[in-house]
Amino acid sequence: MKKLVFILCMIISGVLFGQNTTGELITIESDSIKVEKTRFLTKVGYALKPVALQWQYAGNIGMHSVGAEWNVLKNVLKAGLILGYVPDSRSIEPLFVGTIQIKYTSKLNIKLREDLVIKPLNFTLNFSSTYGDRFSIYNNNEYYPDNYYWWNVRTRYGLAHDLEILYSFDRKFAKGISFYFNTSTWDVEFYSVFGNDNLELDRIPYKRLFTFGIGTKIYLN
Amino acid sequence: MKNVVIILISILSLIGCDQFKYSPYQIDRDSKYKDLNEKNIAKIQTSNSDTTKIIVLGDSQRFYAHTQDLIDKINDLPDHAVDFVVHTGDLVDFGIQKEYYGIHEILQTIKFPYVAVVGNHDMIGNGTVIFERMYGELDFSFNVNGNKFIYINTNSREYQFDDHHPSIDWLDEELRDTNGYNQAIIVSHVAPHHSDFNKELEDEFVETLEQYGKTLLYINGHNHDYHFEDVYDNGLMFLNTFSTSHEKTVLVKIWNGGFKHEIID
Repeated sequence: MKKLVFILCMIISGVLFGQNTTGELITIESDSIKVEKTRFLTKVGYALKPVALQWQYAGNIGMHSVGAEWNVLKNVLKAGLILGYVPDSRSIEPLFVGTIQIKYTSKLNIKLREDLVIKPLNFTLNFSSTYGDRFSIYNNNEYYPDNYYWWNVRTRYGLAHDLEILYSFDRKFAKGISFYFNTSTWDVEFYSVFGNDNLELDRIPYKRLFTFGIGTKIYLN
Repeated sequence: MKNVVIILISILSLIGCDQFKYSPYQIDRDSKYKDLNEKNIAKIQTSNSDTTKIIVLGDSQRFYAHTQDLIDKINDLPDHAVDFVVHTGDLVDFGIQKEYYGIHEILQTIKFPYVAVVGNHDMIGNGTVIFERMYGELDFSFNVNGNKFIYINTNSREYQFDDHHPSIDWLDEELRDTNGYNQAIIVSHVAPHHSDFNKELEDEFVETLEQYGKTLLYINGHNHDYHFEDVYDNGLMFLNTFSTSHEKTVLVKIWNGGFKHEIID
């Protein structure tokens, strides 16, 4: 739970600090140390400012998930933090899923109109943690010897592809909105299918390997 | 723009398909398969012979291709060679619903009905509830030719070795009514002499098995390999079957007062 609070704080502080990137405060400070400090905070604020906010339906990171993404390298490499929720109608009790994402976005765009492009090559590495005792207990040495269950039950690793369509505009807080179709594959499903030493190509249940989701992103100014 | 709208409508229409998953651990609101044990028990057709013939397999976990190859061997047996198949648990590896559906879709191709007991891997995460919704109760029994097959959940470690798993009171109730059956065959995943069984309950459990003098055979899995031994030197034989990855299984023939078994490979 502490991790969830931390993630939320990061997102909120990013949004708050991130708005203050004009350097206004620098002009009203006379003391040089304070100016440096303010510059530093401004840089931190800029770094923490997310470049996009997103909502996603399904895709193995929650029925509904919300989060933000940050620029890491020239808007080609980004990092994301997502918090997802699965209601108790689809679990024993509600599931909370926290996901850290590393995203690669190709510069390749298919221009439909001046303000409308398709971004066909977006790839994401997902590191997803499901909260709750019945997922974390398997790695508790009080009950299970080391590697009794050789995988970490609460943590899942996934690879996703997004086909995204982006509509650009110019507003105070946002510069575009996009919709995307998400296709992902996850470690347990991958290993479950390929963990056979005598598996033949015609026996692979390909459908089981993939999970779909849809989502929308608002790109911030 | 027209194309974009078509793409969006196509994507939205896809939401109805079952590829939209919320978590690997999610449980569908309506299980695709329900009450499989009850339905398969109803399908058991005993021949006129007083011998009950069962195939014992288990620990299918993620060994889909091996399981399919083993099933091909089982399906080569004559129609009346087997009455039903005992699955000794660990149907799946990770306790996730996609796996449960996948392994059932393979196991249902066996030409004989199969009846499964819950294994420790089946219980991971939300697995216990998925098992209950697909297969039914964790402790249950049924009669075939006067043989009472008692399936009991012995996965003590999954309950942090509490005092209730296995439920010895339930087992005692099942065995106590000695007029209702000729002999009992116990089926579980973890054998009582295994370290994953609650050691505090082992003596009482074994005493209960012996108490009414009608327990003929104990069948289990979990060790992934074949063992057949009189573990407690009391005449009660324990048969641990192969995991399906060996592509071997055990055929057991049971008659009033005795049984014999052979390995099918």
